[in-house]
Amino acid sequence: MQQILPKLTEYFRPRSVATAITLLSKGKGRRVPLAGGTSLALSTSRKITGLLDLSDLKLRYIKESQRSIRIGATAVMKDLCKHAAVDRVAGGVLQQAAHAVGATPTRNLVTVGGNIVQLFFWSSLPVALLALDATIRIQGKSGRRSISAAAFFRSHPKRHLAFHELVTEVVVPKTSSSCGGAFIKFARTHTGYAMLNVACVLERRGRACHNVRLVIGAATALPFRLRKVEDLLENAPLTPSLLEQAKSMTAQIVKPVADMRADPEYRKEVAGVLVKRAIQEAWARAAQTQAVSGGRKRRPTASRKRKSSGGTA
Amino acid sequence: MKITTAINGQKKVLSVEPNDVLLDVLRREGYKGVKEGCRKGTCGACVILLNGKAVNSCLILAVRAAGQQITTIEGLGTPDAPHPLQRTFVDAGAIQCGYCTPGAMLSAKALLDEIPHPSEAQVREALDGNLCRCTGYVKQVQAVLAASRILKR
Amino acid sequence: MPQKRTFNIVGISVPKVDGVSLATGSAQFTDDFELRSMLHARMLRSPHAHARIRKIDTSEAARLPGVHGILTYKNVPRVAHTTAGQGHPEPSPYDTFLFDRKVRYVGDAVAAVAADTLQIANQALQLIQVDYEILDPVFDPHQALQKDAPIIHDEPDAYAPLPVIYEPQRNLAAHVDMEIGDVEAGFHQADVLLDNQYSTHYGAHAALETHIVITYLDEQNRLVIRTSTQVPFHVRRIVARVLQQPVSRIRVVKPRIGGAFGGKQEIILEAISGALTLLTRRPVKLQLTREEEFMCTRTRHPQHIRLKSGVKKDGSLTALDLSILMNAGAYGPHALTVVCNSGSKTLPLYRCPNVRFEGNTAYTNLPIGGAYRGYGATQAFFAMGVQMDEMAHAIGMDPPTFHKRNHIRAGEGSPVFQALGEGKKGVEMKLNTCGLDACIDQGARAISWHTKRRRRDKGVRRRGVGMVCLMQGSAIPEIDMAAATITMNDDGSFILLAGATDLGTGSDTVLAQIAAEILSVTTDQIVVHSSDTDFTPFDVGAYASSTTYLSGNAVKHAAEQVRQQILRVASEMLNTEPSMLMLRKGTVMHQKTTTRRVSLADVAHYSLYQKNQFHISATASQHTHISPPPFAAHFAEVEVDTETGEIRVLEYVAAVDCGTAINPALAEGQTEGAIVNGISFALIEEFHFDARGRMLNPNFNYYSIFSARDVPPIKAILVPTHEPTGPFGAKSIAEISINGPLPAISNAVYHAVGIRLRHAPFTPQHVLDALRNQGRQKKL
Repeated sequence: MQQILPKLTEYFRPRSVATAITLLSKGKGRRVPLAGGTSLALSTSRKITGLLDLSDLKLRYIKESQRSIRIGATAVMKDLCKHAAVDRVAGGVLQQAAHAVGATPTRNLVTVGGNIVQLFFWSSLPVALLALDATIRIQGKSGRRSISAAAFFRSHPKRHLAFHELVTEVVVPKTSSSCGGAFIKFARTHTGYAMLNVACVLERRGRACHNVRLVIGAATALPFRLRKVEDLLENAPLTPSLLEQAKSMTAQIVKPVADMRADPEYRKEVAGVLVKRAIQEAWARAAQTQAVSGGRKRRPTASRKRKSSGGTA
Repeated sequence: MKITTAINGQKKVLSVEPNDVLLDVLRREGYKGVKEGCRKGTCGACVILLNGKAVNSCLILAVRAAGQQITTIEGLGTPDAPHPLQRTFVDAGAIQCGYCTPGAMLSAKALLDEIPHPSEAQVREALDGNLCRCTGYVKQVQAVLAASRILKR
Repeated sequence: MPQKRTFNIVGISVPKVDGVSLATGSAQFTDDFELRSMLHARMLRSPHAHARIRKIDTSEAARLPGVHGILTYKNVPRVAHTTAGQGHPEPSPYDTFLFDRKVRYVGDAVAAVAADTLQIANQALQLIQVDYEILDPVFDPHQALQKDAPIIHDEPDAYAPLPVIYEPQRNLAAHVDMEIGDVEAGFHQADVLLDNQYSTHYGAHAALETHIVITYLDEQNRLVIRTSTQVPFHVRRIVARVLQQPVSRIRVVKPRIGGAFGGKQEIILEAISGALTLLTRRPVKLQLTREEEFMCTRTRHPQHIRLKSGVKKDGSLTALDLSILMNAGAYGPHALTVVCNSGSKTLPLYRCPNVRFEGNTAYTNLPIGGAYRGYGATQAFFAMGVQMDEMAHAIGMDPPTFHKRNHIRAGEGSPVFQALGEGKKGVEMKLNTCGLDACIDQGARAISWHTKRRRRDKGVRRRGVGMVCLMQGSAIPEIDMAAATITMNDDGSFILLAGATDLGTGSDTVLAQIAAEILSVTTDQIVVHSSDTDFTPFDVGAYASSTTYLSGNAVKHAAEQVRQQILRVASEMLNTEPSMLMLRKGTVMHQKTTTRRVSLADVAHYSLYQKNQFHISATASQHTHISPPPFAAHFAEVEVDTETGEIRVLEYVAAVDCGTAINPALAEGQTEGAIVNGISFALIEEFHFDARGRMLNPNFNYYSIFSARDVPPIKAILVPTHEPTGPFGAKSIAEISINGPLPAISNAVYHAVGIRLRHAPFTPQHVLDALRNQGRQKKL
């Protein structure tokens, strides 16, 4: 049992992003942002001397505009779980991913920014954000920049983010009603660490899928798109044999790293099954959205407790 | 450092180190109903309400509690005037060893504040962060549903 | 049929006597108690599975400011003992020393430090220099018994205090065998012979409160041990011996306990903390981290089981041959008795003329097995329950019919009871009660057995139902004892001093109900104290499903004596014979003229202040010649995902005969909790080790246990019988239901997809592999 953050002496709670960045810059990498804090409260790092609490930066928001949903970096998982606009994105894929994070008390703490910057291999949100082609907004001492989720998760964010940079916002494009999505977490328990995560977002036109984005997480250190499977599905009628092809192709592509709970061979195979199921679910949701005009769709659990607030975009 | 918080509705000035964890500070201050079970945010014995939301106090640095509202089990009710949840947990037989009880009850409180009449599935989800090895959760869930009926009246 | 008995307070789900205090957070657990100038202790643990300490240097750690005491093998008495909190002399080998020159598993105790703060203690640990000579480890119990295996207990001073087979020179921690009838002849008579291997895995108790102790010296310079334990009196005896102190110099106090499940029937920390207090003359607190709790306390012993059985086409059993190789881990607490129980709690359930049993327990360099709810029955019922199902299937009989045809009945005995005891021969016993038929019928109805059994699913997800029958015991006959004292206060209320140990099970409440029933008062008139070795009478503690049955009887007898004293005093006051009086709701009244009455407060006042004064009080002891088994029939409905191998339990029904349920809600709670623990163990709980024997998942992140969201609907049905030797007809209930999920789920999976799961846990990968093998076999 090591003492947490033994060299910690400074604690700041800046009131603006600009101040936060100045403080980070002066820290020369020894000051780090504190968002949900669920990782930092367990850290025994001797490098960290200062913490920047992001609580007062007013980054805890979810804002809906015509074409996108902007999510502030300190919005917590629970906020995503109960937001109607988030629920409407691609059949609720983002909400399902947020819902898959830990247990209720952790979902009240874990932030969007923290979850994507820490990026543990079992993290679920990055998987959904990749599938949704989200944009990550970052601010640093040289100004603001926006990068795609694809670029953000190409290497571990802690490696490419400068020490003076803060993730401030995640922008998720809204989807049309013909767009469906699904997120599946495969774990021993509802709240346990994922052994596999799969997200699928697709558009349904007639009998075929378009713009399919399939992402697999918890198999390797970083989540990744299954481009070859996406290509296979693109503009092709979704038949049982195509699904079987997608399943076996996935099993060939995925090379899981070791996990004490199951062999890589087993996880490869299950990855194929989950991909097949995610495509089916996403397809079914897209269909329902299209079939029932007026946008009253029914899905299990999360969405049912809330009132739908107006039409879809 | 000195921080000011409100614990169970009472203003408190606490002296803390930057790396003090809220769990330890609360216990040090005499809120013994906050239990330590894993120190990793996985068991829920240390759950408290921070501004009304159930959170693991072992995952929160005490400095972050500055200016915030904290509720511990001691703030829910007293032996003479128990909260309906405290009554229904006792009456339903939902307490065995009682070590997870404060955390579970606070999670339930946060749920009922947000959704006064939850479904069984919603109760189970609200309690998913509070591990219990004694009860099998059956009577805990019954107790929360019973409390929601009392609060309805 | 026993007549229907009516009680005032027995059989009613009164709220727990400690309920409100637990619900409001005011109940005091060990750690909720503060002492001035208390030191904090931490332990240095072995990074190696098997090594000898060549040199250990604590001088630098001792110089660290704030460090007040360090213990190693060099400065503690070397006393061979067992950490198993059992009766004396213990049936477990004396193979443990407070600290030793040798370490035998990753996590073994090397040193302990007491310092002003936990941080200083942690720093000090890092300053202790240990030079290890690394020895070859052995992790597999089969290999451990091979000729060339490394010897784990090569110390010359390890021994077994009882005349049992103990051969540490070949890593044999325990051995037991017996044969009744002629098993080979029985196999010849059989129409169907089955011979299968099973295995069960390591499991953690995972009590929410980790092991914790606070020790200090009182005003008489006596060592006070405030500890989270199931066995306060065994703690006192064993610590006294290990620290070479007289028992009279030690007091053990049990506060509220945050869950135990057998894990706290073990003296792991008390002697170390006590030694630190004696060394520093300061209060010391020693609490394990969750990681230590997983790695360094006790576990469920893994077993390799072979079960050979013969059955005739008419359903009668001809022979049962059960042999078990159990992994003790690095030390042998309960090494003999758990394996004995694997035979003695399973084999008597079925009438069978020819029975053979052999149990061997081997040391390995892995975490230590110990007492865990179910205590060997959990492991063996997996094999027994699956094989009974398979035999029923082999002869084309519906399992409920097969079980009913074969199970033991009231009025019958079993030679196994006599042949297998705990470290000695067992005792002859004829059953007074067995409600198993009713359990089977009611359970089958509740799960809609006959409808669901006919269903055959074809899709990706397939459902099935399975069942199993179970038994356990109620206390250990001719070994366990319990005592209780009841005194009357001057307002007519009572104090119940129980040696029995409430671990959260609610036994304080059950005991209060028993006293209240006899004394005709409500439970709020009974103040319960459990347990303090200075103030409460002796009790072996809470284990072996003994408290309600044994301690309950002690309380009942004490209450009866107090009742007699009350009647005697009242007769003096009312000028009549005691036999003419009765107790009703806090009043003693004349049976004929009920206006002639005095209140209990009047009686107390009279006896204490007025005439012929004496303190109305009594102490009663109880031991037992028999161990009446509770019975249960468990039913599970599962859904198997044939693409991923996941098993989901959809519904679970347990019908349990525990005699009279003194407090039905608490009895249901025991059942529900045991079932969830059992399902979680069967499906997801697992210890992972690296190649060097280190546990890789000592945390709830990777050793998951079920949360409220993972649990299926559970129905506990209490099937009443009346056990004449139990208090108000009660038997036990605490352990039995943890034995059900492994076999019930395995049998349900067989019904769903046709595979027999004989190796636990039933992880998705394991299930998918089994489905694959089945597919391959069908093609061949």
